[in-house]
Amino acid sequence: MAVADDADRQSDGQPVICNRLGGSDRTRRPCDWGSRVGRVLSHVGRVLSDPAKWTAVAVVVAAAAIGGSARAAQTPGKRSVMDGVYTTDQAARGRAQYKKRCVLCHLDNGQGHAAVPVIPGESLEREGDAEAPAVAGEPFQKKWNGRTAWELYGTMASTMPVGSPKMLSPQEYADLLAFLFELNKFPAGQSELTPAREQLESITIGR
Amino acid sequence: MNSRRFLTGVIVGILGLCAAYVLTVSGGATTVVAQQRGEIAGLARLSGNVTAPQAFRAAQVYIRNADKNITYMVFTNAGAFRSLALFPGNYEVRVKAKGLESEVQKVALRAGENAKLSLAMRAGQGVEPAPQNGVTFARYSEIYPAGPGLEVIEQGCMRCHHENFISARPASEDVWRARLGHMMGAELPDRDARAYTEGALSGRVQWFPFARKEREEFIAYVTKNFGPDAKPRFVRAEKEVPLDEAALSKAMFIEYYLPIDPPGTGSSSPEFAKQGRGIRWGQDVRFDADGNVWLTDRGYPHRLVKLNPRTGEQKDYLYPDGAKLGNHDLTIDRFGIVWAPEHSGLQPTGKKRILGFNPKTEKWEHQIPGDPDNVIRNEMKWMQSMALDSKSNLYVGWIMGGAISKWERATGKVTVYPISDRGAVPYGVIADRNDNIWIALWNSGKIAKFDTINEQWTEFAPLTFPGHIRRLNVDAQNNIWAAIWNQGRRPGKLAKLDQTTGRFTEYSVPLWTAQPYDVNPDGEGNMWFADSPTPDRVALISKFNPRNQTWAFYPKPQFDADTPKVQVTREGAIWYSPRGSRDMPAIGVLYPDMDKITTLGAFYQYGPPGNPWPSPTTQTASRTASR
Repeated sequence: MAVADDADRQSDGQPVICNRLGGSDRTRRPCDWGSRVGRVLSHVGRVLSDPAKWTAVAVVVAAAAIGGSARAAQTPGKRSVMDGVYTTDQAARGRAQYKKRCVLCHLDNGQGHAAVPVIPGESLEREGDAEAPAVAGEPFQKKWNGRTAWELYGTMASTMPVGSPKMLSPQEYADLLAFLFELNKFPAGQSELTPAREQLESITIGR
Repeated sequence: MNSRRFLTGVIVGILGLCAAYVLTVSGGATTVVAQQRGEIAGLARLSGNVTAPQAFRAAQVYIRNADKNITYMVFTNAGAFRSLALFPGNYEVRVKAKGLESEVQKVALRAGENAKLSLAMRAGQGVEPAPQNGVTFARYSEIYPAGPGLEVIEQGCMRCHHENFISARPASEDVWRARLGHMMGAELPDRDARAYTEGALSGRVQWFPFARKEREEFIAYVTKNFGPDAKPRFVRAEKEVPLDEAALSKAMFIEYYLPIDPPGTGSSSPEFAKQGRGIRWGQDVRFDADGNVWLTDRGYPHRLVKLNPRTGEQKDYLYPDGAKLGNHDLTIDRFGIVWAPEHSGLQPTGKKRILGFNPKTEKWEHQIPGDPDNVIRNEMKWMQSMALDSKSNLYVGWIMGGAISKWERATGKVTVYPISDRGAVPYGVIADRNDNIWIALWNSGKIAKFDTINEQWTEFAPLTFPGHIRRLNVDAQNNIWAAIWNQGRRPGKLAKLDQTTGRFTEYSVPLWTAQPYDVNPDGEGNMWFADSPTPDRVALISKFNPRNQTWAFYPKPQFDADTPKVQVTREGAIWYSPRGSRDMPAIGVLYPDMDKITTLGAFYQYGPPGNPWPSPTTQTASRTASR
């Protein structure tokens, strides 16, 4: 699976993801660790031979260290759903699950029961699925703003489908989550959502 | 004294004694009536006149006691109205008619006062609910144009879902296929049903057009007429409710509202605010031997509510174990125990119990497993309606589970009897005077009889079949009455099964899209029933007189609140709960003739459990109670 922390840039400026496993995706290439390490060591030697440059570098490194540690203390490894945390392929798989398992109550575009007008005189019994909340749009984003993808994933997996929660596989729930992000117009990215807790906890919902 | 004079004296003496006896007895009766009338006489009256810039009929005058949160509602006749039996206190009075309404007038009433009031209506919202943005009305034939697929909708869908359910829910073909799949039980190979509606229509259903070709025609029809670009629409009522203004002017409704929980408590508490819409939700009513009215509140937390109509005081009793395991109906036995079995609740897969509440100790003294031997194998199984036989044995229907449980009082044993009808969804349950148990089958529109002696089932299909029946009842001649909902253009009906001949007779309700729910006889043989409203046709309490086949309709105070159950007193008052009310859940009563009110208490003619005849048990109970 691709990882984003080894990203470099191609000549056209598009991000290239270094693939430790040597994947064949056209945006990825195997890492050339030998040449990269050599270039870095050569540059470090030139800097250390010049006291003025050495002092400047020390100041920059110290500042970076302070700033970095401060950021780390606030949001260690945090990302936002705006950072492209799922892929379009994954969202397509989620859409298929949604059509099969969710569309009956949450409706085409995730509007939920609120999209159905109150029918005066209709028994409360016959309203059906009154609890189906919106899973897209302003009500959804307001409800989940600032919370993590892990919380949303947990809610989905522990309550849905109604009457038979946890009936989907963890990856299928992650795919559904990807579709909800697409439905809410959060951008797609290059890597898929996994059901791993540490990954989902690192993703914050909101614009 | 000669013999003739002596004989004359004896005769006069005897006549005198007879006269004294008659006067004593009738005087006693007069005293009782006078005492009862005194109960009403000590209250207040209000009458007056209503004017408007345009003609109106049977305007509805709402007289709200602000101190007790009770509303009395009466009707005008030629612009005049009157009311009685009003508790002393502070009142807010207003009047509404179609497209007309008045300002609120405040008035304070003292005991015994007969106050007068004049009210002026002007153009306004009136009795009908405010229109909703984006929803329009149209004629039935415009919303449902003729074509392939309509037959499936009218016979398959509208049987239960009424004519606005589909038109209010436009959606894509994906959603319509999911809806069809839900009704056909598309997911049931992978899991148990989670509602008694799910899978109610399989591909093998033979009661109406539902073959594969017809299902595809249905999908094409709804996608074309109710697709994602369509707007929600309601069917316009094409027939006015026939109202008899003179008869209505004798009638009076009273609604005793359930107190709304303070913020952060009860139905508004953090635990329950998101459950059951955060509201109180009145369902069914029954009377106890003391004239109190009991109600099941299906909101969360579940409550039993006891109302003393003579004072307006209410008391709530929470159900056990968190008050969230499901409730629906109730019944009261001759010992005063209030029975209330568990329904779905927030733990729809739990083991459900038959609960019995003793008002004397204010404790749930009976918590009886409803299916101790796990005869019903559904993971989800819920109980609902009940009936008591003459030995006070209890029979409880499993609406989710397709069976009845019998709790035998003498032994405490529970036996479960699966119902013979495939996929049975038992709704109303009653006992006849021969101790047969009768059940309305929600899924098919059949009626099932359980012979409690030889434990055999017999099914009856009314002339209108398939149909949708929820409640049923028995009259003094032991006939079985059931209410059949309308279905598209086919009217709603009352059906009578004569047990002596085995023949059905049906009577069409002369209303636009009647959905008669419960049906219940009064002491004069009239059949009373609650009729569910439509978006522009008021909810009704209605009367059918089988002798001359006439109908009478009484618009309820809350236009759009349906009612599932009615109970009739020995004086002919009809008690109900406006179940569909979102804002004003209540216990309500209709007095068809307010001048006949002698007490505000609610008493069955022959005592609990409310049989319309003096069964041996109730006779014994009545004698015991009178000692």
